[in-house]
Amino acid sequence: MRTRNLFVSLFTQSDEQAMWRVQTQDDPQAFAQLVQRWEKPILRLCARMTGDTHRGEDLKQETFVRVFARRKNFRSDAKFSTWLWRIALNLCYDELRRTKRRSGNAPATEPDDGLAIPVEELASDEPGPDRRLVREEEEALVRQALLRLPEECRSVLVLRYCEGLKLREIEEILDVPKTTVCSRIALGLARLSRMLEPEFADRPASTRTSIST
Amino acid sequence: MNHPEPNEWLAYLEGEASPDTARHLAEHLKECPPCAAELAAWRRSAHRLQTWKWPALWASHRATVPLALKWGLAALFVLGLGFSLGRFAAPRASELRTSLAGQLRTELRQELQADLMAVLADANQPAATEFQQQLREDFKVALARVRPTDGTQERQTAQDMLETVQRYRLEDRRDVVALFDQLQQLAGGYFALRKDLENLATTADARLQQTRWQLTQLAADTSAENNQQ
Repeated sequence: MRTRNLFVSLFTQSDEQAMWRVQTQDDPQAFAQLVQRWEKPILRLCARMTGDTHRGEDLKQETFVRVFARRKNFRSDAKFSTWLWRIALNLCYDELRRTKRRSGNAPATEPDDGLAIPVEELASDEPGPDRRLVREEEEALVRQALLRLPEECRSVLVLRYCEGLKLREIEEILDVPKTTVCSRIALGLARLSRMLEPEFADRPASTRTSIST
Repeated sequence: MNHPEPNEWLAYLEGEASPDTARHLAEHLKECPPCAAELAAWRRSAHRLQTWKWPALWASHRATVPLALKWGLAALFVLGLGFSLGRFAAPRASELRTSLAGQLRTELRQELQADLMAVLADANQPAATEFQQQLREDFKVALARVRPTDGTQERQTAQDMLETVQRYRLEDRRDVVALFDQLQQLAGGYFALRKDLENLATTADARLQQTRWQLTQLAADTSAENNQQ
């Protein structure tokens, strides 16, 4: 992934350059480049925050609509990714509040069948059906546990461990101090562990995640 | 036992704790199984999130990466092939330079000669090309620098030369006259000396004659006395 990014970055303009072109010339190609580069990470964030790929897809589109609508607000000295993550996260919060009001504070806990791409279409080196099923179950457990966390803990865990952002970047996106980010991550990990450890402890040994401590 | 705060554990987990704090926490983990278990659970949860593949977008993502890479490599290959063919099929730069320079030089020389002949052949003929016109102008400027516009300078130069010659002749004449004077003086002195010497010789001769007559007289007188006795 890192090699690909380096290869791509050698021959394409940066996000900030593309955004400058969108800002000053309404350049559709530059905007398309930004969308192509960022739609999957934003979709992952939105889907993981809401627990629903369809809603995640809608939120992703709305994110880029908002990016274009507010293109004049983008500061030339700012980092595009920070601004984009913030827009997407705010839309996720808004959606979750709307959902909470509609359903009376019941988060989406049922597994979502609307996957973006069916699992069978993955590369042929994937494990056999049994292992695939086990993995799907484990992933569903993680998804459900994550949805049970408070939104502020969920967002920092997704940004830090799913998207691999550094603590400093998360501070800038959320516009909170580092201690706040650390507290939220610590709280999120603690609660997530309390939910997942018993579930995974019951599973067969071959499926348990083994980490060196 | 005092247990570290969650933020401290997170800093330890993220590798951002100071060396002293990290050492202290590591020591605590050895002595506190609940904290060790909690931290291990945190690590497992973090790992599950990192390896969580939902939603499964990886198929399309994987398809585009090699495709873009293939197109990129194909473009690079074509560019490289074109460059290599052009580079190695063409003659070497130095040989090309030498042969081109020789040809250019010959052609330029021929054209320059033709222009020069055209300019010099008939001054009244209008210049056929801009280069010939420029050449004519340059000649005029060069000639104007070399020869004077009228004879004033020449006359002045000749006059100066004449005056110089005359001055030298005058000086030479004076020197000759002075030399003659000197010679004359020398000659005059010589003649005077000769005259004196002649006078001296005459005087000396006269005295000698006189002395001889006196001696003869004396001798005669003496002889007469002897006879009388």
